[in-house]
Amino acid sequence: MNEILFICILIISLVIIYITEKYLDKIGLTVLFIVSCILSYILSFKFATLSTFTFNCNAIVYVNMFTSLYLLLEKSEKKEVKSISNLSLIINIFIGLMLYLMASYTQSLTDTIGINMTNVFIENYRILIAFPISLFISHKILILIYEKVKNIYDNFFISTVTTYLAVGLIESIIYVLISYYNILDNQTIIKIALSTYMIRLIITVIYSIFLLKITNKKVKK
Amino acid sequence: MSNLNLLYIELAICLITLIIVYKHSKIVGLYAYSIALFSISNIMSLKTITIQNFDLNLGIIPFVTVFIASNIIIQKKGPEEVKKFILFLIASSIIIYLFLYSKKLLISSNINLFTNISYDNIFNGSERIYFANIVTMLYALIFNYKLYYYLKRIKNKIWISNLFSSIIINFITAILFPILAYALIEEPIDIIKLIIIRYLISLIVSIIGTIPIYIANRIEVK
Repeated sequence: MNEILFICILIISLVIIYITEKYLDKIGLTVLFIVSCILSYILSFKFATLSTFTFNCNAIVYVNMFTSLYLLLEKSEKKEVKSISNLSLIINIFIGLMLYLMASYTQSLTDTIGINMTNVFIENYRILIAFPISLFISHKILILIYEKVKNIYDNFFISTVTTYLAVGLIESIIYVLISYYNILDNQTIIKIALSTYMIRLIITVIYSIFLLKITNKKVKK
Repeated sequence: MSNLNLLYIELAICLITLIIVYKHSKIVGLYAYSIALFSISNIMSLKTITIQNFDLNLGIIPFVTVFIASNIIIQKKGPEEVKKFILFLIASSIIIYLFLYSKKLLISSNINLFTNISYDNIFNGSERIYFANIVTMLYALIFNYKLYYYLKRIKNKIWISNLFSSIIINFITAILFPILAYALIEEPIDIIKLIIIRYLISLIVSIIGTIPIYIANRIEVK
């Protein structure tokens, strides 16, 4: 069940990226980037399984976010992308505050959702802090590395995959350590970090091949 | 802390962030901020709280703040930009819900199981409220930009356009959302009480929201 659903979400994500890249240009990519940031944040609280892997539910959306950032780097100036990355930090801090605030309200007598919100957003307050920090650091490193790799190998596939190999690992470690250190045992922490990293890497490879084919077609025309 | 105090804090956070974001990224910032606001409003609206013996859904403050952001866009860029803004806002909120709902269907891992189950429970039976929020927002934003722009053309005063459009738009949204979300589920008296409290709160937020529009008007757009 999870595998089928995962593939469906992956296909939908690819279609969304394709439409955005083809028809909506820079503003569309910026919106996609922000939407992916928000979604990754909200989804980062849940873990699911895929075969024997346990991964963070935001894996696909997270790669969507990185992909839109790569595409923005291709289409815009570095300064502009840095500004969008800073904007995402402000938005993430805002979302974090609002999620915490939402869970802090005393629910009405008839409400059944409030207790679940408390269990997710108050009990896991460390994720609310960890996500914006790890995301901001990873964006900064991504912008830096992507430009450098691009100068050496002018190939979209190599640039994106190489960048992810470094950025993804740093991000996974920072996120998991801040969120779960002293809550889960070390073995579980390593397991989660590595399996999420691996799944995101596979998705990055799929996305890169797909996007490379699109750009090649454009060049042929 | 009491719910009323938390509402004040929420309002302050929303309005301060609006100004920060606009100062940082101008119109793009407003796009990003509104998408964040509306997404969070959709999730917040699943929870109900009690204020002065009235039950109401959360998320009303972010919901109304989207109108303030939209009014700033009309003020700065005109109605054509708002059409694009509405399109992006609605499309992104549908995409966000699609993803949130599909992830809810994923079978949870045993690691951190309690949080995983609680997370899934948040979105149980959320379809109707989410749908009500999106339809209300779409309808009200379209009506709001036409009304605000009309008032702006008649008399170019921010407070007049904002006040009069707020009185009408908030009344429509206060009626539309409870009917779409709760008709045939809740008692009519409860729906009427919800309409009253939503209208009062949204009107107050809209009036206070005139201040950020004035501040944004002083910040230059490139």
